[in-house]
Amino acid sequence: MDILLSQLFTGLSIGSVLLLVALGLAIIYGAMGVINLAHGEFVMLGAYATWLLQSTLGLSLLPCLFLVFLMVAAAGWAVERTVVRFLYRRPLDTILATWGVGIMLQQAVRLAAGADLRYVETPNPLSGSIDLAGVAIPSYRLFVLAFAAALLGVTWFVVQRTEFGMKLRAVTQNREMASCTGIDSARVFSLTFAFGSGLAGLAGALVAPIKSVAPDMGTNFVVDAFMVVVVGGVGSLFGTVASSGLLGGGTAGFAFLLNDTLAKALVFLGVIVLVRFRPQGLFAATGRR
Amino acid sequence: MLDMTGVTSFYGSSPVLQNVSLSVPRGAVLSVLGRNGVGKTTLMRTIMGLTDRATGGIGLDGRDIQAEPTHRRAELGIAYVPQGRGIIGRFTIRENILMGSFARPDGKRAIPPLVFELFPYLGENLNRRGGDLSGGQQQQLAIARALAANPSVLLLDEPTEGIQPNIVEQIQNIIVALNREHGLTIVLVEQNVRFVRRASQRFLMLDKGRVAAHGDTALLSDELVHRHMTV
Repeated sequence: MDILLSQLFTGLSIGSVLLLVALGLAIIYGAMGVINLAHGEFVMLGAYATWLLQSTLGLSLLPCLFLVFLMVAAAGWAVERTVVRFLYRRPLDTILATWGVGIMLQQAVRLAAGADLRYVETPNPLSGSIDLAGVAIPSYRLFVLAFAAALLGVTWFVVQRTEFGMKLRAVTQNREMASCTGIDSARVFSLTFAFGSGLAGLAGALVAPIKSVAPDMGTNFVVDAFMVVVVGGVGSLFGTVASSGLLGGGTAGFAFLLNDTLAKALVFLGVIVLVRFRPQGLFAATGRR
Repeated sequence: MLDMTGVTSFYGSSPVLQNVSLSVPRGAVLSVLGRNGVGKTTLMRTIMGLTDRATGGIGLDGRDIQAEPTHRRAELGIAYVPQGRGIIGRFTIRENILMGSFARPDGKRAIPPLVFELFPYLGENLNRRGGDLSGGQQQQLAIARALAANPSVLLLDEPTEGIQPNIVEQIQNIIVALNREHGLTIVLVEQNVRFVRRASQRFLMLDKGRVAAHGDTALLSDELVHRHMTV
């Protein structure tokens, strides 16, 4: 029973990090059709921004979060304005362009902050663990889980319940008609890209205390995030959540039975088989467009 | 109200519309006629700024709008009901109509009472999805969406095409009412010559991307129709 509970929590914990990282990507890919290979670098920027704020201003992690969101969102906005917006009619080229942007960001950070690993401290009140039915659960992992759920709620609200979200959904479904009703689609896309980047930055800030912070840390995250979005189905927020849980649980389960490396390989294999038979993902947005 | 002077409009490098001039006085209906593929829809898209490139002048209320992007033209008071209607399938009827109100410069977001008056069906089914409606209902919805912008000029591209006959007359009556009772200036692309004579004060005949004839609807003779519209 204890083992089951602790495995369940490990799965949820891995899933919540996956969800955090994938959420921004799901928005950008789902709404704009842009395959943003620099997404992992925005996660990395978020982690470094947290380290910078912590080491220079002595800020603890929690007060950093809002600033980090704004900083990385601004970086995303700049990338959209200078590179991505010229490529909406050439989706394949966005892959190459954002990959290039990612490499430049990586090298820029390596030059500015050095190639050494950096460490971000877990905030004091969250450094212990909580006893839940006999199982010791690290408080910080619990916090990440709650934060991921909250961000999901905020994202859902922004997309489904605000005027900005309605404009975004309109532009996604029919860009031409949307502009004929007075929607500035260029502005909507810039803000969406900034929002997705900001979410990636928050993910970076939150994983910084549990993973090492290095210039090339984004590479693994972008692979994970794409896996989540592809399995979940493009354009489905619910699918992103479900597939984060599924992949997190799968990884945790296999890792418990076998080992970490084999677990990763088996999850990959599972994803490949799934995509072979269900290329649209588990929960693709359906219905007439 | 709406003027075009020497407008040439391009898709890629091919000029689909050549040297078109027109003028729609405030409160008038201008009908655009011609065979399929002569540039009627391109004319509408040019007014909205949706073609790749256009030269010449387009004026609204004496103000040059040629350099304005599409969403600004919508905010300045031009509403567009495109061919194929452009309904957002996954939006509800309410969302589709409210979408039109994004073009209102005063920032008001509401469904105008006129919409409920003209289209009671839409008012009673605000939560149905746009994609589930019939062609005629979608056409009503597209007109409702345009009205939500509180526009000064309404562009209607073949509003009765592909619609069941019993609704065609209803939509025609609504167009006439929008013009005569509510003072809307309308540009109407239409193949039905009888309806053109009934609804509009002016006409513009297009042939191969150029203006073949234009003027008062009284001057739209059977001979003109025969020469430029029979296949």
